[in-house]
Amino acid sequence: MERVVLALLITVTFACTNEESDDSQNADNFDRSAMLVHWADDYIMPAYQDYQQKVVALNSSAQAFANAPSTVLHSTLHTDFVAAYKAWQWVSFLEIGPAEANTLRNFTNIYPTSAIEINQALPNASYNLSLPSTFNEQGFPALDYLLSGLGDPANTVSLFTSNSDYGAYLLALSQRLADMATQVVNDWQSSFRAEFIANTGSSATASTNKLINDFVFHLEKELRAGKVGIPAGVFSGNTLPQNVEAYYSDTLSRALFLESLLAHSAFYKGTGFKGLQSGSSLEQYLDYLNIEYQGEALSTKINARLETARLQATTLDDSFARVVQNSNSDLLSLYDELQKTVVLLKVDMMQALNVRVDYIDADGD
Amino acid sequence: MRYSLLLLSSISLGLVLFSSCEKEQNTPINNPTVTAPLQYSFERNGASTVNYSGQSQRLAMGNELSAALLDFGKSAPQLQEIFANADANGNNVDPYTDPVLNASTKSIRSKVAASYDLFSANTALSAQIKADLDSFILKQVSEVFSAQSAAAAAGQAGQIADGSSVRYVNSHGFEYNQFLIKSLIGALCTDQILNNYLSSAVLDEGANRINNNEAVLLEGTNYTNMEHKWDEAYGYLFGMAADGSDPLASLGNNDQFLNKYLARVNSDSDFSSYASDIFNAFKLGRAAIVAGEYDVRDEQIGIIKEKISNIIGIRSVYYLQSAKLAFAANEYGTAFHDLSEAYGFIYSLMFTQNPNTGQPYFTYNEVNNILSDLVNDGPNGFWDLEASTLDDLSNQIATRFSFSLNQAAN
Repeated sequence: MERVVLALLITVTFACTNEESDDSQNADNFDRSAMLVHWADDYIMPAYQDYQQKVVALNSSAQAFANAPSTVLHSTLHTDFVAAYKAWQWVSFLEIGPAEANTLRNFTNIYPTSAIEINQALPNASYNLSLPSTFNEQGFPALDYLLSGLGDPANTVSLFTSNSDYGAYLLALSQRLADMATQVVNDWQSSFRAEFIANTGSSATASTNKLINDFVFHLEKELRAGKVGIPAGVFSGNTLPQNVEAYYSDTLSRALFLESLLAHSAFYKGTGFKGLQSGSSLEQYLDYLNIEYQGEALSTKINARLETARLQATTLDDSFARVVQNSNSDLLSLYDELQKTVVLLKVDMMQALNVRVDYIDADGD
Repeated sequence: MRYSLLLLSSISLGLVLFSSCEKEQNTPINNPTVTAPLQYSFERNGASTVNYSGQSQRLAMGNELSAALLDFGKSAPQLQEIFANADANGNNVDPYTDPVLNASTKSIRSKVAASYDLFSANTALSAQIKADLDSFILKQVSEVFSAQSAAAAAGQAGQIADGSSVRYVNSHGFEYNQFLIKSLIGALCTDQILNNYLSSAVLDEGANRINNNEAVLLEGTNYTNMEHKWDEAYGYLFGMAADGSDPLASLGNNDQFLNKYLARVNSDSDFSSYASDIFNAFKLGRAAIVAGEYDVRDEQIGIIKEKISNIIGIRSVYYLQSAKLAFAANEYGTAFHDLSEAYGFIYSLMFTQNPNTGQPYFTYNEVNNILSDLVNDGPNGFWDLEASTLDDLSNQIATRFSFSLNQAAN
């Protein structure tokens, strides 16, 4: 009991200290509007356009393969699949506006996919891919299963040749990805860009507040938990190697992780989509407010953490499933590094920017 | 502003803690004649005197019921058999996947709204409550199962996304499986613990005190009747623990009922002593029974009644407020799931007991008024709910308890 009281007194002391240190910070006159324009024009729209291009190409090669299955066309299809899946990593966290309205991420990248449900759906030809219960039967994880989960390329080709249900399902999936991407790009161009950059201010529904939440949520739930923590067994008693992203392609999970990490860094630092054009960023915002963390600029600290995570990941096997099986502690260290990044962003950065966290941990039931 | 609030709340919390420290010194909790053991473990002649197997079985049946309520292949009579462990004519059935449960004569339904204090002279109300719960099962099949492959909309039953999960709702956004399971937290667990096994009418029934003082054991057992009644109360909270003598080690991972939500409440920093407080009260009360120290026992009963009642109240408010946030973010599936859980917790409020009055914090009629407000903002139930209604109802509930709306909400 005394210990609890002591802890509270310490909390009170810290709270006082924090209040004083507020004075040394700049008042928040940061130009959020310029940041929104940079986000929209230098990152979001070019990233979506790139993604749309890649899934349209994927859809074309899926059509070619379904029409005349061959190992050559399978190889082309898989190459286009990888390119599109990587492009997806750049837009995955942008769950705002049209993507939010259509819950794009749920329909694009819920994994592990359900091989059982896919095989049940295949012969029906009446699948309704707009139902939430089909999240785990579509998108990239389901394509991954169809391309690499049915056997080696020769086996896959013979399955697609002997049973047209496979080709029909493949096309339904690739067409849906292309349609959804086109819809989002069109909505951004026709109306949502204007709405997005006009929604300045700092309320809970302002563009800045919403997108910062989306960004931090994604880093926490998708990059840290989905790609690393869940397969490493952080949230379960045992490891779950079959839950890595792109499980059936086997050697793709690390590349997708790194691509996603790169996208998060670019957004945070304001270097634009793949270095397209730099602009006003979260990093600059923190520096503008002169936010320090343990005697160092918070922005520098966050950069260092992101870079450490990247370096750690580059030393790992390119299959995270193999890492789980052979040296899971390496994946756990990567998780720990990402967790420290989450705390810096979710607690220190969001408090400094006066952005309230708008999500809570799901109940789990 | 944010820091000032933190400062204020920290100081006021500190004051509360200081005053509670002082209070503790004046109460006989530290009665030197009885001390709580480290674990819930009691022996006589070298053998354990603890037994709550009937409670463990009912909780295990409840876990099977919870899973079956989302098994679209099940018919209403099949679900009803899992609930009642009997067919419509009362004949024995084997509805469980676990053969131990099929061999059992216990059932969930027979212990719904069946406490001595509230229902021994109010069988009409008990029957009404059982009928309420039966109706949740029937409607889960007739309204929700039948619309498995439809997309839910206002006035249309079907499925709806809650994040990356799928929820199955009726045309008003109701998840009847949540209605039922959360209602059982009150109608089964809380009612049996607070209003039955920890009731003086049950613990001190007949010659229980004399027999307990003189260690007269129930025939064929190693425990007195009073010891056993206490253990049965304990079993409705901790009966599925991996190690029943050390239940906090696996808290929250054991069943879908009160245990799980004690863990949830305990993980809120405003209530972080709940699990240890309740566990300690159960241990000390049991030790007091062994020592024949009934005043100490009754003090522990007061603690348990207050804290378990608070769990029901806290989760009612928590889910109403969570739903408000979800509506604000246009996340209807998330909101409906929160509201469906809230519905069951609110239903459970009628089984709480205020230790100061001996009465439930809310009566059946008061609960039904709240639930009626919750589903009647418009023609389509949860689809039409307004934030102001959620705040009104949250406040109505929180004001009866010692916690604040804000403490419960996060």
